[in-house]
Amino acid sequence: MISEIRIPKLGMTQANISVVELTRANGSAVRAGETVAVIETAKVSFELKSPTSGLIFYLKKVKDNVSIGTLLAVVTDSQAAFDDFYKSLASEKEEHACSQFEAPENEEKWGVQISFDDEAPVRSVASSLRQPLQVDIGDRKILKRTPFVGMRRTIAENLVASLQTGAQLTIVSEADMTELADFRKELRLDFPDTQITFVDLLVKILAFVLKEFPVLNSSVVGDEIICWDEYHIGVAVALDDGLVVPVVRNADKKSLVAVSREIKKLSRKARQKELKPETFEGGTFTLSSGGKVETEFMTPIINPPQNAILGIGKIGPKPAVYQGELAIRTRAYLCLTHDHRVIDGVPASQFLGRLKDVIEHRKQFSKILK
Amino acid sequence: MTRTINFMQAINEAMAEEMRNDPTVFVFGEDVRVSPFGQTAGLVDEFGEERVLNTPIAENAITGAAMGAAMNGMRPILELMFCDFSMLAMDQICNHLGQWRYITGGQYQIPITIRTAVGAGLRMAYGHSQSLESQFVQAPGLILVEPSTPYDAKGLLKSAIRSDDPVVVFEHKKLIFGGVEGEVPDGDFTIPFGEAVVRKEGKDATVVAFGFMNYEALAAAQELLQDNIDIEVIDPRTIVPLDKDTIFESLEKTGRLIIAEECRIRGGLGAEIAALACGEYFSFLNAPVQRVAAPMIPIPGSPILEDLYLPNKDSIIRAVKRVL
Repeated sequence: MISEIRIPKLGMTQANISVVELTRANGSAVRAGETVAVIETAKVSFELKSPTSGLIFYLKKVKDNVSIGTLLAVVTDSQAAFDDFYKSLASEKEEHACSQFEAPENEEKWGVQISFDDEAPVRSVASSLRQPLQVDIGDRKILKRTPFVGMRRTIAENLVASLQTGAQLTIVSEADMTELADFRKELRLDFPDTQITFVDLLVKILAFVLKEFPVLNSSVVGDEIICWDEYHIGVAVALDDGLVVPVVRNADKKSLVAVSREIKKLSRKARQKELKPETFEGGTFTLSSGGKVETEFMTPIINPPQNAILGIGKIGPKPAVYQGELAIRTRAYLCLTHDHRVIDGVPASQFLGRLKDVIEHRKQFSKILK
Repeated sequence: MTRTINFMQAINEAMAEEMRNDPTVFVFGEDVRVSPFGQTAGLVDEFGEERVLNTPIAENAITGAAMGAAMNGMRPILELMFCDFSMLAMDQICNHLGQWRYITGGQYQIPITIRTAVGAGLRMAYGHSQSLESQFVQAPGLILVEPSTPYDAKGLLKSAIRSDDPVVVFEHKKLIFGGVEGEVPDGDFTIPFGEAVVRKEGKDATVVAFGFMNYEALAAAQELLQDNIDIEVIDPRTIVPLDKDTIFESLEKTGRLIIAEECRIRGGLGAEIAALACGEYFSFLNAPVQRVAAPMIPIPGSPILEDLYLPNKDSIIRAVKRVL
């Protein structure tokens, strides 16, 4: 009996699926439900599991580009069964000149992912990525070689495209987070089941402040600037081998505890590579936290088609002037990158000022964080 | 490959397979060798009297004995025949079982599985019919499981037996005696705790149904379709830990929440979920949360009154229509 493992349809993403890992040796025994391969689309990496127990034979290699429905591997009872299957496959291929086992047609477009803007500049970006400086490897010592495909490639292309299509600049303000930190400690007592993080608090605060500054929660679509009446906040999650930005939908409507639980679930699933592509779609603003690292401030790159992103530097004790005295306060830099095509300096500064105002005063944020 | 078995077989197979895999697993309880309901039938033939132990009718004592065995490296499967009887063992279950891992700073694990039958409608009157799941919800450290299909019963019971923490499995008598059939995969499989399943997708309202109420909810869903009302039915499968994500993702979509259970309404499972929804998803609620549960009365001995006592398809339909 032959069980086929084909590339599944993963949400909206159709193109640029690549094989990044084949976890078993050809012909080795696998059990039903065991991971046999890892594929990556432009947005997610995804583990393929064996549908049944048997011997696995791969029909694709690592780094191969595949498309939805492509036969990646088969699980059979025996080597002989696979040989028969392979023969029939080969003859079928001759008959129909089956394209399944050839490079996908759209390989020429490899890297063109961005559809929110004119294609012309993006295409040139992609092609510039495709032809990096020639490096003569020769007999140089190599620690590790990693295929520059899949998620890594997508991150690269999206970020370069973002920088090339917008007029991005970053403004920075320092906020006193002492009251927010105290508030967080109280929440720990009141909600012992849920560890509330600064990111959770800031997602809620952002969703609130964005309502007062619609242009910060917007996208350029065709020849229009669309301000969204939905507050879907992307939260950057670092992975061992990359970065993903899953989206907390309707962050304005959910309670703090619900937002917190959702962010934890999204992060966990991202690390386990179980996130579905829909999870990355529809974000209207992004929060990037340098939280656990020592980075003081940053210039985050906008996640298109959004028009702004907020980066938070290290949150920690710093000397500050507080009520006319020098004091040790918990502070952090708020770094807002905005697209000057859409958002001018003054509204961006006003937004940042209002955000700082809310973060610094318990009277303001305690109304939002419920 | 899958095959079709009934609910009782699923429970029996789960125990037999785990007993084969792990010599520390044994069955303990009143009349388990004969097994008047049938879940443990035949186990004594395969595993002998040393691993299928009949006990006196003394629920508190036998639960304590099982706990002692668990602390000494065994994995007892304790049968408390009727959930009503488990009330006699609440000292062991609520005061000790779930708390000892914490109290001893993690020195002891209590890998014990308690199986007990719930559910009315079989003319067994007030002392053998109650669904008392909500009594256990307050106890910390317990995992509470309520399967509604043979697949869930087998997978969750195997997880329970392998769990290093105490698990209570509630088996509905209508599922045990009703011969409810379903597919299970060949070979070994388990189901993780805290993962709900969507029994039916829908867009107009979310019905969270526990255990046997899933069948009532699905029947209600069928009937409501005639009125163009499309409800989503969610089976949490584990009461604790509760899969809030699946429930609230559904609520985000439908904006209406109904909880159906066979426990009594006051302080029941529905009360807990309603409170969570109001606290965390208030903005998504387009209508008041509805609870479908049993009334605050003893279960009547009269068959006619017992049928009136039980929440069912019709009470779910009424609840859905109240909020639409």
